[in-house]
Amino acid sequence: MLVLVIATALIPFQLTVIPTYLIFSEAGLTDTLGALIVPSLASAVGIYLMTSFFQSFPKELEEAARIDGCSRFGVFFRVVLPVARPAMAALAVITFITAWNDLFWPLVAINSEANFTVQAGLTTFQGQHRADWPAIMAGTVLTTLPVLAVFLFGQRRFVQALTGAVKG
Amino acid sequence: MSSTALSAARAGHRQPRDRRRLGDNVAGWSFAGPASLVILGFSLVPMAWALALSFTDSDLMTPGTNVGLANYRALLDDDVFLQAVTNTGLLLVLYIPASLITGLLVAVLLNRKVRGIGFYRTCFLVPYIVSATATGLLMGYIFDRDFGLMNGLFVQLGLPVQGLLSDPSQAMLVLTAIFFWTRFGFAVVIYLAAIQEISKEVLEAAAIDGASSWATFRHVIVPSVRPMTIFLTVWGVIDALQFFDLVMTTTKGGPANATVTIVYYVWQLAFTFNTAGYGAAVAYVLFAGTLALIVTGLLIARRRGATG
Repeated sequence: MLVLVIATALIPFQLTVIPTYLIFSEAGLTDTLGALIVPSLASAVGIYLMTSFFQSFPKELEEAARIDGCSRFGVFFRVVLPVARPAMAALAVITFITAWNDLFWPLVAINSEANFTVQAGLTTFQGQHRADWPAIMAGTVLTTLPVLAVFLFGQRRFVQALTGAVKG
Repeated sequence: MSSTALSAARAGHRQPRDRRRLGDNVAGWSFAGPASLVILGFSLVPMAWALALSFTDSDLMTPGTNVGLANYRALLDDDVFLQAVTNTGLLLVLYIPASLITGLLVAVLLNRKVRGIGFYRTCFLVPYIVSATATGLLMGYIFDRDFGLMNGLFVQLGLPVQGLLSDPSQAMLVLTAIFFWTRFGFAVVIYLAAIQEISKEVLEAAAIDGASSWATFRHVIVPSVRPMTIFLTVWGVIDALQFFDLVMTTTKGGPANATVTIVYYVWQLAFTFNTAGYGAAVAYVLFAGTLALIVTGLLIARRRGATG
């Protein structure tokens, strides 16, 4: 199962984009933010990252908690999760950057400017104000700042997660 | 004791463990289930669907009719498709070696105790995290033929003005360079982490044996970062084959289809030309190509690893 999930990371999104669009248009969800949120609720890369963390988690600690009368879910929420915070922080940084920077799917799924994400919005500067470079520059700077702030804030975790995932 | 009683006793003995395993399974699936469902639902299901679509003339609005292999046959005579394959191939051939070599060299340079080293490392990663849209817009400005900074520089240096993104013979090269600039920081970070793990003893031993710094690089560093090289190659192939955002925000495939990549072509076919069935066929060819490239690459890497 895990291998299957991770293998999906190798399927190019462009292969699945046409049917994915059809799924959402059948459900009447195109041009809503839901169409943007649902497919990215879980990512194969994220699962891979967290799996490699959980596998390195000492089993003895889990067993000790079980013996002390903790339920299975209790073990997860009270013992494992607090220790997993750094890994989750790394995943949060990666997920934020990916979602913020995505252009392809928002362009496909969204038609009305009211529901555009930042990147899709940025591209509208291009057509309408071909020569309005100051506006484009301002837009670029403004949309880059949040990503830069998150990255600088979580840089260490981000780099650790990247390199850790490769070694794992 | 009769045999039935024995097996009943055994079964009774086994029961608690079975129940615990069942409990573990239920807990496990309730954790892993929802995410797996989302991922498989948005990958395997659409994948099968795309295969079905590629045999139809669907236009996304009305259910298409079955046209058999006509889409795949049409590919062979499609000049834009051939152009897209050539463009994507050029990107792969230039980008992968360039990012590996530059990435490793920069990583070696950064792997020393210099003041403010963290700052330099950050600098190399920043282009990687800035969105391709922002990069594309800015680069479109820099590489503009008429008022871009690049041609301004050429004029200052007394060089002729270049067509850059407006010149069919240069546009794809310029895009490749931009793509390289945004991506090679990733290779730097991965290589740097690997180099830092090489044990000091090995490097000292090399130094004591009188190895020059080139020999150390060639015979100690390059072999020890081999797993990273393989990873970065696979990653780079996937990344480069999905080259879309920069095309969209700079040239939109032009001039004269000079920068149409396979992915961009799929998007055009499905969402602007209303030929989703044909688009799905192109996407499938891309997928088969990716898979073939990666599998042969890994096989070659493994064979070399076994003999060398």
